[in-house]
Amino acid sequence: MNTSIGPAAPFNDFIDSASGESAHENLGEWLSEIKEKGRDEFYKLGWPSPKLESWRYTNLNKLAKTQFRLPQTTELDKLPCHNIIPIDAPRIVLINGKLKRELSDLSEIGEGIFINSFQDMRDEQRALFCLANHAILPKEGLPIKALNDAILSGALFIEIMPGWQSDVPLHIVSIGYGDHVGFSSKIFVSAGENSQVNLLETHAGDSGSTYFSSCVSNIDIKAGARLGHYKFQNDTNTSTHLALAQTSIEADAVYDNFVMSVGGILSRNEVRSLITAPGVECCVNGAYLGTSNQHIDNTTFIEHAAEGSKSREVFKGVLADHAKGVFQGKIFVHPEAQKTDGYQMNRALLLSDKAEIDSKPELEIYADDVRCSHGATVGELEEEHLFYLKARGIDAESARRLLVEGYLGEVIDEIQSQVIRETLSKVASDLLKKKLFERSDGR
Amino acid sequence: MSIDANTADRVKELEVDKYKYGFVTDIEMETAPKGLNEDIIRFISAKKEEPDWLLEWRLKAYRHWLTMDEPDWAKVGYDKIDYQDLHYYAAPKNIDRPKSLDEVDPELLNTYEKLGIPLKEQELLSGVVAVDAVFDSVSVATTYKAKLTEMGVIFCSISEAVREYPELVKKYIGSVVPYSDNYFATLNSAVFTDGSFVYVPKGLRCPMELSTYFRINAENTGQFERTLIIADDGAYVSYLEGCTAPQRDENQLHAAVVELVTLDNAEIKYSTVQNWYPGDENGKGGIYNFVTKRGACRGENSKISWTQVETGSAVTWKYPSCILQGDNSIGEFYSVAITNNAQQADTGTKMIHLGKNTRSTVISKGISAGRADNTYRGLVKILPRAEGARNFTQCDSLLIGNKCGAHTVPYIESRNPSARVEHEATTSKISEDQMFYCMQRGLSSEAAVSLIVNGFCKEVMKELPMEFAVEAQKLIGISLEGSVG
Repeated sequence: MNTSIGPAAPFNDFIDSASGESAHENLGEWLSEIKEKGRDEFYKLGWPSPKLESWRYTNLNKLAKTQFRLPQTTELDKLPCHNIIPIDAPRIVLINGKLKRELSDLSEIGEGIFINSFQDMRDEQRALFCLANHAILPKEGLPIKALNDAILSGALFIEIMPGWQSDVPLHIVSIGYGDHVGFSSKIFVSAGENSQVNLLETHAGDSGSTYFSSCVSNIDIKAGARLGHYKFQNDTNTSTHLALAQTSIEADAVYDNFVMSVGGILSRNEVRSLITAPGVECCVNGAYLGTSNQHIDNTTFIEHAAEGSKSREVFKGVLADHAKGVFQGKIFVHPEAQKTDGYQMNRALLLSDKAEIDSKPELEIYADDVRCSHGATVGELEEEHLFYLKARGIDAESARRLLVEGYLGEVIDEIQSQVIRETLSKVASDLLKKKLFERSDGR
Repeated sequence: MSIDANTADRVKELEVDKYKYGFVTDIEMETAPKGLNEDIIRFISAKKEEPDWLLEWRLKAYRHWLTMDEPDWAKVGYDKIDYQDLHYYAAPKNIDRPKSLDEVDPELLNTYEKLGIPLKEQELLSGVVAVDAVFDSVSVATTYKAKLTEMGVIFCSISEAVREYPELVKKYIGSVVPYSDNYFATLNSAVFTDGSFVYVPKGLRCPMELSTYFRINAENTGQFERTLIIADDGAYVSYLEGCTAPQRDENQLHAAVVELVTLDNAEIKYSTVQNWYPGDENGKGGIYNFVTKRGACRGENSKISWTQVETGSAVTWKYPSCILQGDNSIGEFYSVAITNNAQQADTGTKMIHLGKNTRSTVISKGISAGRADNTYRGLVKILPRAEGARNFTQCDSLLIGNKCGAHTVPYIESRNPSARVEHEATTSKISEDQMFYCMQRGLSSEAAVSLIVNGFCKEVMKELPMEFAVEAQKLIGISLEGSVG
């Protein structure tokens, strides 16, 4: 339809083998149906190409031409701890998309959260797969979702009871392991009325692994609930990560989303939030750091379908070497969504003359009594700021590090949960040291 | 807001005065048969006594056009255009290149008089503005030519330029907007009939503002103007383009191409007031305005400035752009786009920074009322060589009523770390406080809206040349009539 990549693409062989694979899972026809439907949908949409508006800046040609295979039984018995968020919290571990009970630890989780995986899910959870999404679909469809369905490896169902409030975050760790393996997972979250929980996701790989991973989360936030949803995407530097988080938010609920993407040769984190009722506060923020020849894509869509809600979106990125950053943000305000307050800001820092940023902050507004603004800036570190620090005896290298840290710190400060804010702040600082300032190549 | 008797009267007045430029001049037309094929293009080319290279160029464009698809990415919807159902050539018959205004068909002159451009008077009067009036496709009168020629400025129709200055035309035509550029520009390249040509020689500051009034007249005639303006080293010219069209129910296609070239230290200021028939309240009729405007700052320290006030047309698809090739060159874009009733506008600019220390400023004001949709779509692109480039973009939208839409789609692509790009945008409505303040002082609601909107657009309006500013201010008021109350 819209792509030059024919069905002969090596990745398509993988999709075909994955969608036919479910027999040994003991899950019967039901899973095969989802996979086949996903595969047909994906082939119908075709591989996303830059000709499509929402894929204008991200090209999957290389991915389509790479051959992946299904992961074998997972023999990994130790987590690559240095690649995941260092936090002491109950955790649930997925290896190549499948639940690994031996590495998970849910002893501290408390009685208000129920977690099921594929094997032990209930009928109504099964029905979730078939739920229609009421949000506006992009003209190009959602290729990530179709692809995710087609090769689906595992799913998690997280149910937060109404009124359950907990300070203890739940950490979902997804690890890719192997050579050219491909997998996908789904996370369903239902946050009951007036509940209050923080979810943390780490997407990383075992050192030396090369894989394709996809994660689609479907999140349902009921009235008055508060859900923190924080993601650290730190895949290995040869891997590809395509993710989509779809959220539906009800009256007076708060959704605090943050994505920190630093890993993968190519990554795309797509966040789509639908505000269905008044009084909602929806924050979709993110930080990214790109080095070597990484391609980092953050695409967001916030849909105001009810009046009197607030959304806030801040993204900041640092790009060095040959890295390429993409930001596409859109706020859509329906005619009935009067009194909407929308804010969107994207800033990017280019540290090398080979780095590139493509930014598209978009507003589509059909209601007149709204306050919506957006801004975007692109540039390098301010000479004056550097001078200020150097004049106080700080060497050039440290001055640069301070400024870059401060630059990203500003957006990490948007995170509402204090524990997670502090943890990610530390992670960011270590990463900057490792990836930008104390590299073995002496730069 | 309640409707008092005063408002009711005003509305009634409007019914008559709604589109005061809506009349059809009855002049015998020499028209090519409907449809588009190579023979029609040969016909146009022969009619205009063009050299072979131009015919070849047209045919190349046409053949390329056949391979293209009509773009659908803009946020506009309209009935499919049947390109075979249009006339591609129409010339007022009785005026085979008049030598002076006396030879011009009196009815034609009458038309212009109704429009408020009395050519004769203007020729007699002080001589501020020279008018190269285009009636449909053929230039009928050019004033002040002698004076300009004396100074070395060439200001004539493009067909005349093809005959008189083939070298210049050949060198520059298609050099900014190539024939293969986009669907509508390619169509224009194949079938363009007339337009203006301006060449300002080295070091000359053109002493008067050059102006063209376009009119779309004959039924079923697509208008395909082509304008080419060249400012040689150190030259300056200010060019005015203003448009009105007769009222009619059938949609008319307008696909113009404007190319600007500035060499070292040269400057072109291009101002447009566009007030074509927007269709009625239900979106019936109205002009399709699919225009490609692009300027190339070829030389160092050169500057191109676009100012536009867009109030007309049913559908507007227009992105006046600057290619900043020369080091230290400057691009500017100031725009007011007003849509009311069922109008749709998708407009903005492209600033392509190639040279070092190139600077660009974009100020866009979109006003949407009724059931209209107004989109700003802009690209700022910084290429690796554009050391120290700078861009500032501001686009503000104003919504009047809750059935209209305002959209902002900026694309920012930077490949140079020393470049600075800033973009900011806001969306708001006319507040009740503002209205109350004005009305309490005795202004009617319509006068209040007009005042507030004019204030909102001030940054752009002040860029317009004097002659246009007054007209444009009135236009803003007229375009928004009936949007409040």
